[in-house]
Amino acid sequence: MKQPRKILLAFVSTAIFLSIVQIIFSAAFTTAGIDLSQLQYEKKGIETDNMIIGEALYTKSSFTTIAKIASEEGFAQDTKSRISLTTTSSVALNR
Amino acid sequence: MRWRFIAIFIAFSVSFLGIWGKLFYWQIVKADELSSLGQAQYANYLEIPPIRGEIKTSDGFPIVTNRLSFLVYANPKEVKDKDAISQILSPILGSDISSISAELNLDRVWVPLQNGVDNLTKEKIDAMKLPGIGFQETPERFYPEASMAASLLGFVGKDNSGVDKGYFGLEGYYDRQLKGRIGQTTIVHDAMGKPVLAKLVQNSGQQDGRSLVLNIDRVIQFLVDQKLKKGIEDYGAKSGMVIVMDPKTGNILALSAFPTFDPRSYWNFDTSLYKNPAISDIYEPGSTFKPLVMSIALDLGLVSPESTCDICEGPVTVGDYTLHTWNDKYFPNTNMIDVIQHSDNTGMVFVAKKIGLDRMIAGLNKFGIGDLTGIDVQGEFAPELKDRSLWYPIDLATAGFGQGITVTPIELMDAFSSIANGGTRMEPHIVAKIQTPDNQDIVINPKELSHPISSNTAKVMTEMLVNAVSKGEASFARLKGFRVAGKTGTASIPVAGHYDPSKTIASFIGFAPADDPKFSMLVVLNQPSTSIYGAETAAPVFFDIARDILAYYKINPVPE
Repeated sequence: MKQPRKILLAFVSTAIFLSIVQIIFSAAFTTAGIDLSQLQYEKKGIETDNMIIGEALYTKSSFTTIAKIASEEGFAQDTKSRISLTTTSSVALNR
Repeated sequence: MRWRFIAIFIAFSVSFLGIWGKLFYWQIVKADELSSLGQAQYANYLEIPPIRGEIKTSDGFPIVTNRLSFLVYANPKEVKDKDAISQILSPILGSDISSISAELNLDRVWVPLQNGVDNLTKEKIDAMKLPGIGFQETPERFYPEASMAASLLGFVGKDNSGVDKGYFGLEGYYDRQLKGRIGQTTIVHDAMGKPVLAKLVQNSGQQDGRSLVLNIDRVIQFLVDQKLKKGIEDYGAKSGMVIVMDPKTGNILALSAFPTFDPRSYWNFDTSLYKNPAISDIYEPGSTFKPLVMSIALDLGLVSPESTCDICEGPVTVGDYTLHTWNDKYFPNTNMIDVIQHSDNTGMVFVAKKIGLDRMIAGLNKFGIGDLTGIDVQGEFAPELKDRSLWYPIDLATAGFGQGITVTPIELMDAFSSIANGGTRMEPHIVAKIQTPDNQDIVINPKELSHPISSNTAKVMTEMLVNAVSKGEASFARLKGFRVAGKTGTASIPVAGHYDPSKTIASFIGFAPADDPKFSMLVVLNQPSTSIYGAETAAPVFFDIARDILAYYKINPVPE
């Protein structure tokens, strides 16, 4: 009767061992899953921030906005005079 | 005892048969149904919408892009105090309390409250932790330069299925490239509804839209918009448009039209403003057509610049019609250079008669008159040239000075630009390249369409046009120090079978610098009220814009 006991013990040990392995791997996956979830959340947040910053940047650097601010600051809309230099001319001397 | 064994055996057999039968029923007969129920319970199929492509000017600045916006929704079954929530949300969302309250009182699990909500407002509501209120991201089209080039861009609306679709302009023409492809993903979740991340399935089929990089120069477009708007105001015109093109490549550098619409709120504007007048409005071009007719005659060797007109001592009679010059001044034995300089209608009748009907039709066909240019914008139209059998002598005569014949502005611009490009006509093009989401560029190369005239003829015609600018009726507005080739146009508008002398389409067409053109440009003002003449309205606008473009290109004047 020793043989059946050994076989039974082997089955039970194997079952317990496999259960422990499963628990360890499941826990690892869950942890990795939580990390992944956190990374995806952060990525989404950064993408959202990028979109918001992009919108602000494009609005502020648009010619329409700059022209409006220039007009409010008193810059002339147009000038009839143009000065062109066809040769180089010194405007300052370094003594 | 034997009967007990038999009874127990029968009982067990019946039980096992029952179990097997039930198992067979649930696992074989009902397999598909249970599988679907199970999948519905633990798996969600989500559509992943694509992000629509951007439209950028030549400097890479996006004049059409996307921004974050949210749809605020509610689950009425989770909202306890509907009146309080309505009062809280009403000032934030800018909606009536009664509208919000009506939605919250519906017997549904999902109701929309407000679309197009920006991120700041969304975060403000989110911070209040209102029960039953949620947010759905809905990217929204965004125009950093407001309504710049609106008639060129078009707008994004919805199709019959509620899906985003481009209409008119570039949004319409390139809709398939811009919209991308909807994808699908499967998310497996547990009994509590939380996603099982280890079981995430990669999305399939989703692809963001491609972006367009235009030939449009944002600086030139902006200054053209400003100058055209001012010109329309100064000269009391009903509308106007300007096209600026690189004649050597066909690249459209700017295209402006007023009045226009705001693509951010296109539904508030008349639908007639959606179309781009540069490609779809037809008009009789008047004297801006004369360079084309003169070029045909020069190219065929029928006239030379020194040829003299022997019918120019007074008005010309053709059939039942008498044709006058625009100012009733006549120059007997005038040469072809002066015909263009004085914009002499009788001189052009002389030239048209020399060309004859067949060669006129052939010549205009080579210039692309009557054909679509192929410009990559939705809505192009080209009025066909009349069939040969329908031309009368008066039609040939008036075609000589651009009346009785109709064109679109882009048709005329494209034909005229061949004079600036050594006699070669290029296909006008707005888009320079298409960018894929993985940053591959699909470049659109310039395309030659035809060679209506020789390079020699183009040179001769250029000199005649430079002379017209420096000595013609628009010489007061010309740019000193620059050689600009150009022609004024004052075309009467046909009304109920006759021409109304008080209503004109005033225009100016030209290119600069004449010896190595960097741009060609057409300015059209519809019914200016301060003066009917192109020389006094469209020409000053042309030179005002040309001066700034030449400065932008760092082209200096030379002493005269």
